[in-house]
Amino acid sequence: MSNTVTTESRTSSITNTVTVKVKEVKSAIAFLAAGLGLLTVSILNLLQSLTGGAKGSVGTFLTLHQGIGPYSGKQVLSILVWVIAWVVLNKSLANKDLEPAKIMRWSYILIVVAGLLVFPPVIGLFV
Amino acid sequence: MFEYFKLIGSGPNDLSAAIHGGLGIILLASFIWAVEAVLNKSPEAFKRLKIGSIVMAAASFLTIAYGNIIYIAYRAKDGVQPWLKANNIYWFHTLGMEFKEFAALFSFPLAIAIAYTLFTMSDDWFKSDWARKTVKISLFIAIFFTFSAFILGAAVTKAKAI
Repeated sequence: MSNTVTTESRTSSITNTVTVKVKEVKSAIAFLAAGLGLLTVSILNLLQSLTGGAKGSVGTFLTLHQGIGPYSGKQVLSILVWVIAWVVLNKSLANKDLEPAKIMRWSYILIVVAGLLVFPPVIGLFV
Repeated sequence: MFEYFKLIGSGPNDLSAAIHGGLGIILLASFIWAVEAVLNKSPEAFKRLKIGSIVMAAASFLTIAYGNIIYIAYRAKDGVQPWLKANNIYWFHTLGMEFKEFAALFSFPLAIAIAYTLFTMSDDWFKSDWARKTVKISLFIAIFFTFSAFILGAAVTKAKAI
């Protein structure tokens, strides 16, 4: 009787640990998708700077609203990448045996790189 | 009642600019509120953290939305951007505005990811050191970008108001 109780509580504890891990992975995926969206903004901004600014080919392509200029396209495209990445990564990775800490490491790298690539002195190194 | 709006200014963009700045303050305050709640490990603090995350996400979205509205006036022919270029303080535009407009965008996806983490972890929040550490670090990253955007916005406004 006591063995059954011990086995049941051990199983319940393992199930709980697995549930927490799945939640952590899903949360890490949310940050990874955010990092991809932010990196998209940065890359689009860099591409615009490399191709003649707001009036260049990339700048013109990104101008979805004349008043807001290329900034409008950068926001829309980065939101699209963010949402699509979140859905795709969640479908493909959420139930896999992954380490959330590793996923977060990549998320932080993406966010830091995205932040550097929108800092004008860094953009100036490429342009 | 509407007489008091004249204190904000009489220009066509003054009200939008004031709302944008005010939302930025609410956004910063909500991030700082969330930091306090994440450092305090009680169940009541977790409830405050979840509420704070919703305020963060909403304030971030609205701040960016209003920012887009006044950005139109900023870029206009008689707007602040041409004035900055013409008055030889172009660095105000490049370092100030060019960084600010992107730094401000960082708050929204981070706020959403933080809120998602809190509501996903839910009852398992206290079992996950990883989740608490991640939310803490992410909040500090979001505060850095939001504070940068706020300060640069204030600096550009001081040079020339929209």
